[in-house]
Amino acid sequence: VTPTESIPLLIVVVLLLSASGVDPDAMTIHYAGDRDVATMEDVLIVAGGSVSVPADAAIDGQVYVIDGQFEVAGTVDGSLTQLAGSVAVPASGTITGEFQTIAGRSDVAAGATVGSRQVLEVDPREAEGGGAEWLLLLLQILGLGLLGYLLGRRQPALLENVGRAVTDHPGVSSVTGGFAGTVLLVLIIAMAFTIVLIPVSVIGLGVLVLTVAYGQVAIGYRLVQPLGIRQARWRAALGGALVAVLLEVLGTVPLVGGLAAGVVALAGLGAVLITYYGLRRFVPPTIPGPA
Amino acid sequence: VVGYGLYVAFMAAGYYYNVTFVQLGLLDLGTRHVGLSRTGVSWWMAGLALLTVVVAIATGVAVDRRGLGRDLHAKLRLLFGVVFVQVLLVAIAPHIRSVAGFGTWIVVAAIALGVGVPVSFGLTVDLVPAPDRGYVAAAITAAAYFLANVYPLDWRIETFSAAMLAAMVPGLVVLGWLASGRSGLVDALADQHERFGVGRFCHPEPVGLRSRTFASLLVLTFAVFFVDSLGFLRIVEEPILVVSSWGSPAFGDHLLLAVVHVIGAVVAGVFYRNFRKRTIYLWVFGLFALSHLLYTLDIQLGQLFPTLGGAPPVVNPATYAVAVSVYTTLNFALWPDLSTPDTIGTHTAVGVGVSGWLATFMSTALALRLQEADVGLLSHLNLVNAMALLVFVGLLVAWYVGNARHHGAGGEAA
Repeated sequence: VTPTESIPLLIVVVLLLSASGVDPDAMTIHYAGDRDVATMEDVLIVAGGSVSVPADAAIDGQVYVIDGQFEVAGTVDGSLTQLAGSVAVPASGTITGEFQTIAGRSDVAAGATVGSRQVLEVDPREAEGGGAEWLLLLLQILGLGLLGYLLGRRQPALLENVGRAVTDHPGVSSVTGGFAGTVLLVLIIAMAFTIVLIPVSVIGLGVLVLTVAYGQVAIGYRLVQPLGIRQARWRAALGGALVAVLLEVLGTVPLVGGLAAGVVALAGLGAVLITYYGLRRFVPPTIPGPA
Repeated sequence: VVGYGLYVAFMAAGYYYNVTFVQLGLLDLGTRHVGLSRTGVSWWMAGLALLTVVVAIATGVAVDRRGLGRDLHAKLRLLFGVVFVQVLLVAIAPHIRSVAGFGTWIVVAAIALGVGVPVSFGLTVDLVPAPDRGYVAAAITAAAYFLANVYPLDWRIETFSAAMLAAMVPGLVVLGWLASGRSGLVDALADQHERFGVGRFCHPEPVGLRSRTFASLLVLTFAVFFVDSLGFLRIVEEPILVVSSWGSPAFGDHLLLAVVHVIGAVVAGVFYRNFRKRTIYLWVFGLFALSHLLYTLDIQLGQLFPTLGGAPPVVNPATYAVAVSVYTTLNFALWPDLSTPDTIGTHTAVGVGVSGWLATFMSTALALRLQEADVGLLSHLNLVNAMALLVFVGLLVAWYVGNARHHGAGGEAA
């Protein structure tokens, strides 16, 4: 795990610490190797390697595990939050505060003492084949449909421009969407690394997601054109919902399905960008040359 | 299609020779065989760059004055001469052991490179129609960088020499046949410049060497090469920054960078064909700024959290590779598109020579001065990042002001 790869979870930890009023300067980060901890600053972050609180030791403060292994054979006089990695609390271990597991593997022995226990981890086997996927799809259909309705009611010309860019210039739209989407994601993550710009990166991510959704609605608006729906708002709403279903169906095709769905989504994003969010029609420059 | 193939093969081979044999092989030759310091070799390479510019411009002017821009046979004969000299240089290089021999090699190599720039770029007007130049430039960039990243991984002069000779000797034979005047293929291609020799940006009027368009693009491209070279020269000096990328012992890392280069070239080809120049320059400077930002961020994080360590993630060199591919593609297409068959020699010589070679010379000199002044890695990369950001913001401002003027003029007219 490199610094950059560790940072997203570190950011989450810093956010949690800030929310609880703890000074981030009081953090101790363990990244690699084995270590026994008998004393600590206010906050200990296990970001790799193996950290153990020996049976005869007691540490006072908050502990966060974002990678590696953490064993509590002694006492943690405070809370333990697990975002990834693994945590083991044998029978001799004590956590006086809350032990919260958001993700990762945890093992609490029967005789261990834990103030309170909260597990937010979702078992993928439960989600798979259950109602979660259908609920998510329903939300996507409703979300894109609603976005389409609103855009179609107020600005159908924008949808027309974006939709045309996708169908008339699929190559440029896809390449632009793929390239810009990747670079913007890197930029958003880079901004988050600075800690100070986390709010900007969160807003940026939101804008990016909305832009992708806008592109999908525009594709749908174009797709349902042959149906002859007169009212733009209903055409856009139906188109948005249809694209949500189509992307889901595409995603189920083995091997190429996910890729195809991704290309469609990126083409929408690219079309939005090259038309300046639909404000202009995209017309590539004319270059004189042999016919 | 045959013309496209020939052009891509010539240019990709030439660029591969440049980025591997000249840029990496000479460093090994100078330090390991001749006994020079890395700084000493860098000064020699800066001299090579400077001499190449002078020779390129002199050759370009001569090509245009003699009307050789319209003579495909003459250009192929000149190119044959250049490649012949380069084959000899490649064969001799591993056996050089003295500073005098190294210096002589540099001078002859610079002359060959200088002559080669306007002559090889001059083939564009005969072989590639203006609408396809972005895609063809992308193919050249993709081929050259893909090969340069995957082979050879051993950066020793002997390995480079063997690899180059294996590729260049058959190429020289083909080029010799084409240059001999006995090829009907060349006769068939020789008149094409009449139909598509005028560059994309030369409509309705040709772009002059002293025009504002040419000057501004020259400055911008100079800045691109300068920023790239100044940053890369420092990055490759830090083992920790290249251990997971250009300096990695694992073939997979090199292959990944090679693929990223290809993707970057394809993107650049599509962008060049479908967007305006300013958009592409914005992307280039934005990508360089982002790339250096990522590098400096990793270093800063390492200082803030000493327990976090290790090589930077692959996203850093990947972003860098994309930026390099984008501007290389731009460079291959831009100068011919600012030329006609009558100006192709001078324009490409000045464009490639000044923006490419002169920028490399100046950035090398500056990098060495910064090194002598004990400027730290973070400060160095911050400086490069500041330059990239400055030009990026400058371009945005120019774009905004240009649009404002355009709309203002429209408003008055209305």
